Amino acid sequence: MSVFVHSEPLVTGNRNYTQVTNDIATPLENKAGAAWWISFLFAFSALLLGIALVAYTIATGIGVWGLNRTVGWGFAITNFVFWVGIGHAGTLISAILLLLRQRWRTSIARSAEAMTIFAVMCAGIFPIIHMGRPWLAYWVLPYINSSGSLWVNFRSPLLWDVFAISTYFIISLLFWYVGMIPDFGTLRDRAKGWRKKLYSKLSLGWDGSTKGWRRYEKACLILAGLATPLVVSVHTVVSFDFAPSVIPGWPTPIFPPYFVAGAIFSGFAMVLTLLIIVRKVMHLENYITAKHMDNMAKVLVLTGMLVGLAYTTELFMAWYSGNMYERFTFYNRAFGPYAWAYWLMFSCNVFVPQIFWFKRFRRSIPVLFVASLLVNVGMWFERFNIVVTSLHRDFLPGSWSYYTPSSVEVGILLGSFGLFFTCFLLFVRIAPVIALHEVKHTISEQKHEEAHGGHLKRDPLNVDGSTRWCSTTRTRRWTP
Amino acid sequence: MSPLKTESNSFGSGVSFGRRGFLKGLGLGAAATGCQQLPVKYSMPYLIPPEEILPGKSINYASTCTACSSGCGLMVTVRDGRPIKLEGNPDHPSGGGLCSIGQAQLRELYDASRLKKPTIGGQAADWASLDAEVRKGLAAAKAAGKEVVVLSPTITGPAARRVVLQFLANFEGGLVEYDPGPSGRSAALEAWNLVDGRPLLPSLDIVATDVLVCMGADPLGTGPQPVMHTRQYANRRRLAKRRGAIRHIQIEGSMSLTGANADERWRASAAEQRIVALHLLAAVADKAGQGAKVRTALSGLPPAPDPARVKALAEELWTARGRSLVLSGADDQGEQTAVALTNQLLGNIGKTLNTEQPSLARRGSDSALLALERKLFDGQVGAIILLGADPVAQLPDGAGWARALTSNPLAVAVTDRPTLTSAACRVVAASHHSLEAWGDAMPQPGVLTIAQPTASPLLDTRHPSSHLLHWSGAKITDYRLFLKAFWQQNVLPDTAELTWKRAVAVGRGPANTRAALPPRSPKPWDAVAKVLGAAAKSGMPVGDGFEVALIEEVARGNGDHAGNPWLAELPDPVTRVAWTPCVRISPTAASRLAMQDGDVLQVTVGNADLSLPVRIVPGQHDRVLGIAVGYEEHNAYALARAGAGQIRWTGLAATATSTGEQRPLAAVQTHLRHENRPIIHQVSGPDDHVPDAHHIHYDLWDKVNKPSPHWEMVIDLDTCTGCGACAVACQSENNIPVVGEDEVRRHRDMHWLRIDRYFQGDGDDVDVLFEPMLCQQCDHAPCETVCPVLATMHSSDGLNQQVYNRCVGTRYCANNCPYKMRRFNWFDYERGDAFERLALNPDVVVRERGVMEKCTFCVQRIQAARIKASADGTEGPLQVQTACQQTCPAQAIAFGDGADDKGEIANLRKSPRAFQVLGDLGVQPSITYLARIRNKGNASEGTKA
Repeated sequence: MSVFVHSEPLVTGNRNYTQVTNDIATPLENKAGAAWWISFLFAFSALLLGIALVAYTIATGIGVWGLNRTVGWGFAITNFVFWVGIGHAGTLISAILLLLRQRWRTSIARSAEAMTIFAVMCAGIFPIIHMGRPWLAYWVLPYINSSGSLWVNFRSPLLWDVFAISTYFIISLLFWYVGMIPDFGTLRDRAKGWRKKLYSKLSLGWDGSTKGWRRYEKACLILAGLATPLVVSVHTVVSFDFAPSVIPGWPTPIFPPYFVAGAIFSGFAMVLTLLIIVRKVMHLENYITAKHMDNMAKVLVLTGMLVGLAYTTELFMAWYSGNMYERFTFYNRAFGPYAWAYWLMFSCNVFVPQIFWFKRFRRSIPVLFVASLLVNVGMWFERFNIVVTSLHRDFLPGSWSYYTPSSVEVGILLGSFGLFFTCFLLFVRIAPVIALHEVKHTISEQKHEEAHGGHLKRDPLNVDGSTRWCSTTRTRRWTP
Repeated sequence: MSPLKTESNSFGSGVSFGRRGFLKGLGLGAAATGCQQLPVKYSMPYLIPPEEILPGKSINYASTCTACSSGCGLMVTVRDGRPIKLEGNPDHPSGGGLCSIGQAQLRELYDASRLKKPTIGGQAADWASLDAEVRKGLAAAKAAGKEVVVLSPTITGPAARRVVLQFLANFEGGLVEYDPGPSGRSAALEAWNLVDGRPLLPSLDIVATDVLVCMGADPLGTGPQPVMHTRQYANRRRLAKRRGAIRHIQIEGSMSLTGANADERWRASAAEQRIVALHLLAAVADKAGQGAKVRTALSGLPPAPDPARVKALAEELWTARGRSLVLSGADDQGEQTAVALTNQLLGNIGKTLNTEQPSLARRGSDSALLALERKLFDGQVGAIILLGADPVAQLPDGAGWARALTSNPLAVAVTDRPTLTSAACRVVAASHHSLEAWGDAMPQPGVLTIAQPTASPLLDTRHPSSHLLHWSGAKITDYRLFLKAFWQQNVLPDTAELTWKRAVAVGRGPANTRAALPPRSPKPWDAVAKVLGAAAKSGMPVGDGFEVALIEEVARGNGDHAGNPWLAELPDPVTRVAWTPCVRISPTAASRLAMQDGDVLQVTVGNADLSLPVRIVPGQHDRVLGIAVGYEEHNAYALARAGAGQIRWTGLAATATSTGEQRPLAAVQTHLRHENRPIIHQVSGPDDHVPDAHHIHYDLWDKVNKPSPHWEMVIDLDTCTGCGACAVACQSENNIPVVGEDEVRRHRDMHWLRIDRYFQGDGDDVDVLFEPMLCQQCDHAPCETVCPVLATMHSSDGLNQQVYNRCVGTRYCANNCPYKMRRFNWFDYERGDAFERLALNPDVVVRERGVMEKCTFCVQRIQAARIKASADGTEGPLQVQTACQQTCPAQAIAFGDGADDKGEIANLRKSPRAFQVLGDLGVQPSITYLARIRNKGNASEGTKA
């Protein structure tokens, strides 16, 4: 990971600890600004639209979508895979980058984790509402029942999904929440009125004692350990929604790594999009610096090339397999009726990130913002390509068809963005978007570094030389 | 057995009744009170004594299908007093199959739009006042010395005909029979009158045919007696091993079902077709030594479009003389005469064509009809009774008929459902549906059948013949008594009650019955030569303008059953379009007009025009626009031209202009070709092996012993004509909802059995391959592993089961089905009111919205057979017929125990033509297909898919 050079300060502006607390807590305590209210209005309207359209779908039937007898999955499953993928960056930043001792992650980890939670929430809705009889969705759970020997099918990838997604959601939620407890304590100590009550409850009586810190660190350690394999496993399981089938274009053995790379790719793009907005709106330029952007752009180049490799491997394997149906499917993706979707995907995901070989673009906020949006569009279309173009022309030309989404489906996709941004906007008003204690720790290290006039080779506080599993280890208690 | 007479039914007199009241009347009530009640008066159940009638138990009644004049044998399954399924009668000369239109009659019985009451001037009336009104009108007509006319499609039943003639005996005028649509055979009747001396169509024997040439004729699809002809055609094809494959050449402008089955197909406009027929006659006459005579008559004949081809065809026919058959469906008397003469010269009469036992299914004469039209329009007709005829919808000058009928002093529509004609008539005599009515039919001498009612009249209607009996003041007005008396006097060997009952029970009279046919009056050669000469001189139209060919589609027919949702939803075999009427154009014409599927084309013939979306069909003649009649909206009958005693359906000079509009087609298949995938095959001879047969050499799965029975199916693509009767039978048997035009347009067709159609060949001259596709009941079914809730799994007898109640609707199973034969309930599909729901099969669950469904190999029938076998204590293989198999006029479907090494299935699987669709996927489908044999004649090359 030597590409992420630590020569540059991770927190700029020479902030002291009190200033840090003020910078992050004050926006929560003040009234929301116009920008927040406008964003919230848009997001909440989209959410309400989504709720109305889901209610309409459930009341009327899946027929209000554009699906047909040949294309049984369309927007809903595309959205599901898209949102699950988005979630992955959060877990990667909290767990994997932690393991890899990437200190630059501290100021973005909190928002990324929040993004994970909300993205998984968005994702989880789709498998339920896409069912013909969503009121019976609980039948996919292996609950003990009195209906004879009715059980679930453990061979079905959809069942694995149920376990993967629910596990992912629970672990991510816990990790996120536990990580916020000390900060809630900080906020509680500053807050008045109803906010004090809220933060008292949320901080679970955090007192900053050594005992508290020790238990907190242990909990973090366990949760990080649990979350780490999920980065790989969840999207692997999601890829099994397709990989064990027979439809040409789906049973592709590279799907698990391909999906994981894609998930991280799209997740980082979404983190970028969000943080560019957050740092501007919340005035956090000192904490989320150009250097963070730079690093994330590098992740985009890497993962973008990984998905590019996956795409070309798929094409090669389709040709090399000699299987006429596989060959046709990929030919059809590139030159068939959905060719526009394929090339949109290819350009957004493979060509666009290539601009980040240049530092100028890695540090240009407008370029980063546009590119991150394009990557998100591209990654959505990747899933659309996998789901729809494989289905619409499979083995028997007699059943070939075409899928055009209905306005209801488009509205529900919009609604899912509404849910996501509504949650995120509420999050930035209620919880600290940046992990206070972690950033303070980073500052202390930075100061230490400057004092010694050199690069941080070793954690100076890590006196016994043991591996640091949790970023909060040995962080001292701070009273603002 | 003594007939159990029932008390009058409680609901018989009322129009409105609830579902409960209805069911009560229909037997459940009777069961509840503990007494058995025969649901229908005097009907004889087939082979089952009435003591066995039990609630919930089905009884089969032999009857006759009266949906068209073909008179096919019917087996009506009746449960609790209501018919729930129609099937072909295997003991009937029609062969035991039933076409799609026949299958769909059940739906019409329960149609909500049926006439519920007699009306006069749009007001509900009672029968006494209606009868008084009609009698008054008839008396007035008689007093004024004007004609009283009955207009009807061909009546084949001798008793039914007698009723009409008896009624008309009191008046001037007479019976005019008319077979609407291009399937009418007026020109052919006149031609045979010239050649054979009798205006009757000879019956066909396709089994004896080695070379079959059809010129615009569609004996397998829309011609007379398609079920019987399909059975013959299939039987002949099955003889390929012994007698060599049949050679079938089709010459036509618009691809018909028969044309789609041809080995070789020439695309010809109406004039080209006529010229080819005349050249063929001359060439055959040369060989028969009568060339000089014929060529003199044919002087002025323009050269044939492809002389070498005509010569080769004549050669081929001559070689197979006595074993060949030339048919024409043309509306041109000259061409029909030439074809009749060709058959005569080839010595086919008495071999493949039988003039001694002619077909009686088409008697209608255009000239008689047009004469009537003239008189009616001139106000010379005092009264007209339209006995099931719908001239307003089914004649070129429908508007004129509507005016004439409205202004006629007494126009009576006798019909069971509202039509354009009944809307124009002041008096509407609501009639029984054919399943409620007694009747008889004689599609050809020796085939004399009885139709017995299988439901008590559901509405306030009367038997159509009974109307005439009432109006003629006959003593017997109950048609059952009339029919019985007629049969006892004229058909049955004796007047014993038991003889009659036996005839009713088996649904037909003695096989040796001979009909009194009109005597022959031979015509001189000069008359024949004159017709031939006129045809020869009519020449070719100049220029490359379009011409319209009006055609019938297999499911829509001539429009007699327009509005039947089962038929509307059945896609045409060639265009694969349901619901939407369209113009068929060739790819060349499409590029000439710069049009795509669904672009609306305005077609103008004379002063009539019609705007329809186009459907590009390879195999269509480049200048011929094929337009189907038989749709309620966009009625194409107005494009036909009447003149010179003849209605012209083809060769109608037309102009075509793009309107720039779009009307998306309700097409269930969008792709034309099979893209050289090894999913369908054709071979050139019965012993040829399927090329590229994919055999699995490896299998990672453990071998599982298949316990007997292991239900499997074999579909012979060689005999399958693609008619689609199976799809409607399946719809009826399995309560498949009708989803409507819009849903079909969205590719949400629900049929559990579809017939894929693939064009083979690059240009416009294509071979057509049909492939019935249904759930393959894979032993390694990809759908089963992916369902999260185990709603689909495998049964021990090899069925891929679908548990509707457990399904949550993830649709992964449908996605993962390589055959795409799973169907999803996108909505709660409309099944009509309580009345229409009576058409549902009580043995099959009605699926709710959000649930996946698919073919189950008629598991309800398998279970019924199993229960019966266990109740009866019988051993041995279960005798089960699936609905599709039963109805197939070609018997292309075999079904049985595949684990039985000596069984029919195992035997058929050994054929060199056997292959499995996508068998190389390793899913182990339970359906085996047998490849099509395409006899390309001398120039035959093994062509493969």
